[in-house]
Amino acid sequence: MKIIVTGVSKKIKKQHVLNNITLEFRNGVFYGLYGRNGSGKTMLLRSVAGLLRPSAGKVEIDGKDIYSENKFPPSIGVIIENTSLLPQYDAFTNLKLLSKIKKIATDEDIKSAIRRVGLNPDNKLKVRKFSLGMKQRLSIAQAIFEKPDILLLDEPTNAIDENGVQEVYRIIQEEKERGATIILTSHHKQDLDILADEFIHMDHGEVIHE
Amino acid sequence: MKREYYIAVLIVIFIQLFCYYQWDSASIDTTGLVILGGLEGHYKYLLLATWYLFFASISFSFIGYMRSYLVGHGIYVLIREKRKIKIPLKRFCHIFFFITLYCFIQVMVSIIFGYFSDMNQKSVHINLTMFITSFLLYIMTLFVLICFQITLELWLSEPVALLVTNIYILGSIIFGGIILQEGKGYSLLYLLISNFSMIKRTDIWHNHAN
Repeated sequence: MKIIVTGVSKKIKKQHVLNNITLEFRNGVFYGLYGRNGSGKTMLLRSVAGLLRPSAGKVEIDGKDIYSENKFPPSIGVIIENTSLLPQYDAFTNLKLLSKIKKIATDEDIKSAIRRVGLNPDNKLKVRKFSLGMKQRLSIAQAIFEKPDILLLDEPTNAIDENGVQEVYRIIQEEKERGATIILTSHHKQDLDILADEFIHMDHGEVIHE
Repeated sequence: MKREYYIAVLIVIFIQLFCYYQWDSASIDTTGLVILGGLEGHYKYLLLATWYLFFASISFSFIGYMRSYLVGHGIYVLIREKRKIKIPLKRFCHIFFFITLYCFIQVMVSIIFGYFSDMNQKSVHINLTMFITSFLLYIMTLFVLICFQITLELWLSEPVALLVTNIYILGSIIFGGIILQEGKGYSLLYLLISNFSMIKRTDIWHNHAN
């Protein structure tokens, strides 16, 4: 799916969090979005996900303006800061509940995604008892289990140990090979060097260079 | 909504009835209108406080009901919906359903309680037209107030929105009573939506009685 961001600006409390962003994300390409805290990375991901209406400009996915049509992108998986899963349920139940909305993923798809992130789908341990790393892994499973065409990952390796980070990179690589368009954010360019096809540097709500 | 909230509202319904009969034992409800009709202007504030309890419990049980879809787990649910309007509509329908259910239970408990307390009559006298009118007014008043609270949550934090709404309710009850007692400034009553329909304080009661 092709994503075109044209002249997107967002002003919150008289401050420009996004300033005239124009970018094109091509199908099946892995984009590494980096910049320091408050540079606008998460805001950009939110506007692509349909969660943040821009003050100006538009976001088109396959030629359709997601804001004028009042729709979310049709096939998207996200991890955006402060997201969490329901603490009173186990991993499988959490994803099973989410799968009931779109009804495109089978139980086997859910179990397979949970296994891919290194968790056991048959484990009845409640999410409230998960470590931070386990929660982050389950968030990744949540993003990929419906095999979305677009993956927006906001610092997905947060709280994951070194071995886990390599596993997450492997999963993201597999998703890229499947043909998903991936936008992954990080504070440091080095984190993205191995995987990303293209890099976007952001600062003060602007794209510094592509 | 959590199960604890349902139980809390049910407990409050019984506490409210107990307090009401404790402080106003002359009113035995075999009509369903004791709850729905509200209290006249000259009633003591202690009794008004027992009426406020029910709204307070409902208001508390709906805390964060809409905002939870803007952060955390709600985002996972939100982006899986096709149309952006679907989630808010579903939430408003849920709110309306639960308020209707709570009110129905409250009124039924009141009638049953009144029936068994009324040793002389042992009968239920319900004026159907008046009952339906006041029941709908009662539900709509609560619905508008809860919508006011969850709308505030989009700009304010949940506890602040809860506080503002409840201060407004208490202000409405107190100033509404003062205006009716003083007999002037009736137009200000339009700005004071109290936590119960208060049809005894309006012309609706008299219109039906006549």
